[in-house]
Amino acid sequence: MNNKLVLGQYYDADSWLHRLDPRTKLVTIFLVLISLFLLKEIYSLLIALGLVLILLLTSKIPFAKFIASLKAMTMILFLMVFFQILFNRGSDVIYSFEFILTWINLFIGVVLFLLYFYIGKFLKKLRFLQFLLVFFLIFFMQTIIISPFVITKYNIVVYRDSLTTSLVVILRILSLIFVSSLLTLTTKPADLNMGLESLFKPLKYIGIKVSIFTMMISITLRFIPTLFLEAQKILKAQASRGVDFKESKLKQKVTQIISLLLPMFVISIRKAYDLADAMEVRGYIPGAERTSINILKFRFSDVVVFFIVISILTGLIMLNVMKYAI
Amino acid sequence: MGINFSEVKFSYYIPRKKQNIRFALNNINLNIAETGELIALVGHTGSGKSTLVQLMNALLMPTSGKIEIMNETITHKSKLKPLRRKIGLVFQFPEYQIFETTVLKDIAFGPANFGIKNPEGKAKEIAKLMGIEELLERSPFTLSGGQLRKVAISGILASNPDILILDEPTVGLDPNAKRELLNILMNLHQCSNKTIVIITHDMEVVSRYFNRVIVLKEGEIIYDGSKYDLLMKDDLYETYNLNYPETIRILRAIKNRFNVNVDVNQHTIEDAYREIRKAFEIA
Repeated sequence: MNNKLVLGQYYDADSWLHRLDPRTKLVTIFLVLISLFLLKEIYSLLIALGLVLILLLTSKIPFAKFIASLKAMTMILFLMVFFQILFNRGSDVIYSFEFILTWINLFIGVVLFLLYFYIGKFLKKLRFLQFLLVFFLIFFMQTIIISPFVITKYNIVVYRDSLTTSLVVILRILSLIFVSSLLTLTTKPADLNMGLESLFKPLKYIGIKVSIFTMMISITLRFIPTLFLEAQKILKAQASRGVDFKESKLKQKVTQIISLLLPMFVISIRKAYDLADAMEVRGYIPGAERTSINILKFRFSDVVVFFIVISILTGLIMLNVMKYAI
Repeated sequence: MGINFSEVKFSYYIPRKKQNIRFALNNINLNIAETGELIALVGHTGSGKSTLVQLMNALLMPTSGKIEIMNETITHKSKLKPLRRKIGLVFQFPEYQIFETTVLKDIAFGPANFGIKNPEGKAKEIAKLMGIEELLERSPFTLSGGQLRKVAISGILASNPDILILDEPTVGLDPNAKRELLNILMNLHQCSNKTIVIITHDMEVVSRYFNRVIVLKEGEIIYDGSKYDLLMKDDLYETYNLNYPETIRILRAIKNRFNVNVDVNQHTIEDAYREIRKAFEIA
């Protein structure tokens, strides 16, 4: 049961990336993200992606984890390419498609889409592939099935510019996602929190007490599993009083949801009071200076990483400035 | 009828390597009749008592083996709601499940879900039985711990279950409230002949009120039978991790100290007193 409760994406391994100081990782990854936006050519982005892949391989994290973090983005990337092809007009025509939309095609298209949603109930895997299949089938149909009930005829022209722009964007987003998931996969949420606290410490000079916010974050992280267990308890207790979302009527379901939410609020508030008392008893004063049991220390490897990343960034900025100067 | 377990195993988590699996319950064979039984489920913390009662209410599914509740084998496809009406399970600290604005509405929540006609009438009836009639219009959040416990138990009783299961109902109650609650349960048992299963750590409660005792240890049933046979044993603490109830502890001490012939298996203070008098009058 406890394995379900592991929070965040953190993957436990022992690589140089895991051992780096969280502050180093936070700052350098931010800088790397900026440098990725400075790259504008396909070749330079390809090299960047290659470097990122080397980083991923040295992190000792299974590659499937990174692929999993891409999943949410596939649809957005696809739509981006689709709209690029539709609206971006350039000079070099690569290919021009002619489509004929007929009532029969429209009908089959709608049926295919409904089928796609219906299949989703049974086949949860490879949804994106299924979507692509339906999508291309609909367009392919419009080139071959000819019937008298024509609605319109239209062309879609593919230009070289639209293809290169979409490739650039795809490469950039791939690198961005890989690099940022590298941060969450190699750093524990608690370490990340500590790194943030240390980085934002200077804010105290303008009157913002960062330690309060980071304490809030770490309490939240700490209590998510606890509240999850409480929620399971309440769910079971109410299930023995007839709360069942599968077998109940819609009208009953509304009060049944309240029967789960309300005790959760009550428990959360009660726990918050208890925790506040327990913290005060042990001498916690909001915003007061506190020492930490884990002290972050910069090591030689941190300095090397900083040096490399900063030199890459300054190099890129120099190149960009020079291009405009000439 | 009733509840039937055969060769039931249960694990909360199935690891990738099958040989590393840790069973919370192992080889459970159990038979609970629909009427007339008073069963105490005892055992060390973490011995699987709460898991066992959750299996009885189909809140958990067995990893292997077969569970029959009211002649119906439990699978993922079974309709669970009608079964849960027949088996009433009161959780440990049932105060947490209370959410309505008045006690009456909260007691009526269960029967309303199970589609029982006139849930509020049913709730009033149960409240009378539990002796909490005067609380019906109050908000549950203003009640004391013992009152809340009674409200929560009423919430289960209101759907009129055939078998009532309670997970440590007396925990955290003062002696008076505890005795009162147990008396209500015994009354209920005598009036309607319902089977009552109770989880407890309190051997006094077991000895005073219950007949059949099931002892769990590390997920296995190590004793299932009459309390008289169990409490006669000399290795109760070593093998079963249980204490003797007060009456038996005193009688055993007297027997050893004065070397008199007493029957130690007495479960009420009156019986124990009579036994001691008898022993010393003869001597």
